[in-house]
Amino acid sequence: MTKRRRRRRPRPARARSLGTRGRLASGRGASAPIRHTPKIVGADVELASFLPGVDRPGGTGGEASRALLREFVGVPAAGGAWPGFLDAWSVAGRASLSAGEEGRQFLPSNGGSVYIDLDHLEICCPEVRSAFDHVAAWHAMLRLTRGALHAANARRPDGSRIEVLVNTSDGLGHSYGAHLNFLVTRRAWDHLFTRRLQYLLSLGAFQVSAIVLTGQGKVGSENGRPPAPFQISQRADFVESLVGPQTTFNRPLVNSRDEPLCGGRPGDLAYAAGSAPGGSADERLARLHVIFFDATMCQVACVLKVGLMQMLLAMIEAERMPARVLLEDPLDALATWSRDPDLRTTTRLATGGRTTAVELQRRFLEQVARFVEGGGCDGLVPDAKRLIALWDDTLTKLETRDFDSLAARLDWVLKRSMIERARARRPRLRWDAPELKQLDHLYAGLETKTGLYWAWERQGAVEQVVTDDAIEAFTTSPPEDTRAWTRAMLLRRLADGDRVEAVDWDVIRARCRGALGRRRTLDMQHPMKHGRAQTKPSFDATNSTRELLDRLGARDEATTGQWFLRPGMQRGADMLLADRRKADPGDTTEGTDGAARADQGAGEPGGRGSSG
Amino acid sequence: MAQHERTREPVNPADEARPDDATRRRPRRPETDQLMAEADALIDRVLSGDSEAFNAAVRQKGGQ
Repeated sequence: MTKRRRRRRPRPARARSLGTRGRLASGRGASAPIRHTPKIVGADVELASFLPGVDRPGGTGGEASRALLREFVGVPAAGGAWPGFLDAWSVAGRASLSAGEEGRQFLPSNGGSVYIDLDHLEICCPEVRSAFDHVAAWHAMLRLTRGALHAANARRPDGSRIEVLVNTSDGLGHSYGAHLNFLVTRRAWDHLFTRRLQYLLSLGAFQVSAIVLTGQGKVGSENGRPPAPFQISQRADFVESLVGPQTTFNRPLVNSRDEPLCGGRPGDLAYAAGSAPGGSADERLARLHVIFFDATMCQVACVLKVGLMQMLLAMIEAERMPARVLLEDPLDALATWSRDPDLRTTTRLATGGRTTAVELQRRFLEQVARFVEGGGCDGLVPDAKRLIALWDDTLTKLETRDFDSLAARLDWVLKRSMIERARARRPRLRWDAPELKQLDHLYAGLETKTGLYWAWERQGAVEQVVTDDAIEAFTTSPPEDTRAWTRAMLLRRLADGDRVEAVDWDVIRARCRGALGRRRTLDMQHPMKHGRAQTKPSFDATNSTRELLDRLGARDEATTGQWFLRPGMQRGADMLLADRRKADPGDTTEGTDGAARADQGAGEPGGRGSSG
Repeated sequence: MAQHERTREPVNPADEARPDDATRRRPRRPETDQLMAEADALIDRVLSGDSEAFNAAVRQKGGQ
């Protein structure tokens, strides 16, 4: 009994720099598994872009997004020395790939990334530790994209202009993602998806009820769902299953795509052998890819969306299961609550009884707050107590339906108040009037002159949780406490003349001047081991890129030979073929093992691309 | 162009992002005349345009 209590009690961090709290806290030496890891967070967000007044079959999204991408200054992910050949390396050597992805580049400015995915401009935030930093990084990426928008529009000769919307559905039955990515231990991942499914159901119940905090709001319904005047969540109409690896169809509430970008994963030969990047089996990490939430503009909504997930995941890692929170039918609850902006509708709990979304959020808050108070998030989730206070205060306002105050914090409340104001000015407008749908869209317009959200922010009517300086800083500087720092700084150094052959979230491969026939590969599987504190001394010590890479621990390789045996390559190639077969069932190309495999992440045309 | 100043000595955004009671900006009440005037102007501009054409132009390919 004493033993059990000791194991369950959260402990303070003692090794914050590398996030190995669990190992040291366990006091059992180097072989003890990592039980906790800082909740590093990234995001990959597809934007809607289009050309009003321009008629093209299938829409103008592709044309507009490609014009935007051309305006970013980045380093191509697939290098450029030998196109085709290197593209093949970049693709086949990775765990998975996206058949709809093109033009990926990484930004030397802040370590983020941009590319085209399924005709959408996808912007990816650099990895950060703090939810507040994420808010700043997210708004910084929006600023960079707005700069690209202005530049692209200035080039258009015909007077047409590109519009960009920061939302997750077009109102015509098409959804696109605003994904978050959280670092978790492999142990926690296994619990979620293979061993302790009650954790998964708990996470699902949390996400569903969290729409009262994270929804952007939407006029009407889509995807064959019953009509609704106004919904809290844009994404709710498109969530059709409980769990699964897919992201473009039959979208799941909890996404099980296993693409770590922080080391190997089960199935890789090196992983099975214990030699996968990322260390031994006990040190392995995973990335939880969260596809459920809406894109958020309001800073409070954004910081709660990220911070609450960080704390809940820390609790799940600690094997602390929130009690009495499971829903009898999470998908039904989602549809019901999304259609209830007055916050009065109840749905059934699996354990009996009924609850509103706000009541369920309160249950989560009480248990997560106790976990935080006991030190459970120390060293793992920065500013956890501040997050708890903001969560508590916002829930109180929801419980009292103080929508005037909430409009400064939550997108769906602000959007609803704007639309109600329009209806007051034009009483003839019904909820299905196209004018209201246009207002719905323009709420999230990226352009500050036309986007309604920015008008409220400009007037100081939206609560800020980060300063404008912090946002601006992330447009030119990477986060200092994750590998994004080394990525950005190394890309700046390499851009001065050495040849970058491939870049991804966890690797940079380059051919340095004066090193004919050899390349160096820097693996950065651990998101926290390449922060400024760890690698700046190496940058300061030399002006030679080759020496710098050596100091950072890059592998020195011949340009031919053993890299063909890179772990995971066979799997990547097979997944590429699986993707092709899905897109074209007539493709009979055989995989390297002679059989088509429809594996995680390969069952759809969008297999990768997220910061982690 | 969305240019990035590569030569700038990076600052630590986290240092500036930490919210505290001193730096956290509270919203003003949204009922200010200036805000409402701007909001109403934006709303009126939308209400006087061709909303059906705009909404149709938004059409996107399904994403992730």
